[in-house]
Amino acid sequence: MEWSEYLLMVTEGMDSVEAQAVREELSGHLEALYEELLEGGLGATEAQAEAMRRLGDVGLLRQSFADAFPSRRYPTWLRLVVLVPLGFGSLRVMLGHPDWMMAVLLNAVVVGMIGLGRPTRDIPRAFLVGRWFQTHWPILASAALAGIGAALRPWWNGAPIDGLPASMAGAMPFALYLLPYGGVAMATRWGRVSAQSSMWAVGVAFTVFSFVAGAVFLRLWPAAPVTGIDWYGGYGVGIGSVEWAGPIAILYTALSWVTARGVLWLRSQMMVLHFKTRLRAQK
Amino acid sequence: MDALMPSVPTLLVLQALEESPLHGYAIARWIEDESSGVLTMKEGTLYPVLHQLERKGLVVGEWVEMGRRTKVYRLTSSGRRQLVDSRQEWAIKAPAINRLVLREG
Repeated sequence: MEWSEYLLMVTEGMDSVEAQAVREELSGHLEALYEELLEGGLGATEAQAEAMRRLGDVGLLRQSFADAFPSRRYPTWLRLVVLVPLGFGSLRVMLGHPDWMMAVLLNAVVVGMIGLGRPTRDIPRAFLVGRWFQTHWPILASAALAGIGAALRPWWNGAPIDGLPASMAGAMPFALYLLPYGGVAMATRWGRVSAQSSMWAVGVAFTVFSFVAGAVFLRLWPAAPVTGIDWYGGYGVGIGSVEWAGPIAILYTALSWVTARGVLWLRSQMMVLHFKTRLRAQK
Repeated sequence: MDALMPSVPTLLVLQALEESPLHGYAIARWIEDESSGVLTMKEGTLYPVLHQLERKGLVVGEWVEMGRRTKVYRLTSSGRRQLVDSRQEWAIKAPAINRLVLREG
């Protein structure tokens, strides 16, 4: 077994961010041990195997890390109960039934409560500060801006919820945010909820903060001038006429993912490549 | 045993970090060297302990460049307090346990 494979097995099932940090740390340990063993007279292959043996059995080590990094997996039925109505409601909204929006938002709050409401472990402040980009704060700040922007343009005249423009402040960012971010979450890690990293929780936090920021803004400045940005124009008949709000939200989502996940994925791949190159050179 | 005595791996790691920050490999070597090879903390045990201590705020890990990217741990003020408390507890209980365990019938 090669180191890269060993490390991947040891960190299997862990949060991808934590897993990458652990792999990187253990790989440094393996390399130091390997060099010490080489100096002690072992051959490259023996030293490689001995370093792994000393680090410990894959199964035991994986269990130890699982205990050190507890996470929680929700049962499938719960995920379905929450996600199916959310997906259905979102679809209805996008197909021209904005009156479903409140129900979707309500459902989104339930998802948010699941993701945000019960932290699974204590996270020291230093830990969060060191990984600020993985926390909700930059996303919440963006959400507040999105909500304020959305509140500048009330719903079109005559819409059923025209009297509640603030209630819609979070709707558009939410709808646009849900699709790409939700897709990534489904593909990668939905079901593994940890205190700081549930992607669904991030999406919901975005929505709720957007909503609150929009409502507060309207309360403070009820007669704000309309900017001329027709975010909602024609929204009732489809999403195609949304102008730049959609691309911005999607770009933001993509950048968030690349920052928080993609970089780690790249570093993980580079580490594997580094191992292989190094081992080839030493053999 | 952990409920009766301070956790030995935890105490050893905190002790190792008392004087200066160290990375995981150096902590393992410190324990082995300082105990003249009697105590060898399996590396697989060491890292989960370090991460648990980090989560509890007793140590802080920082990535530094030392030829390769290495995570170096240092004690926090809470970690120092924990070390002092655990040491005192150990000093009181260990002799008592020794008396019981080493007593010959």
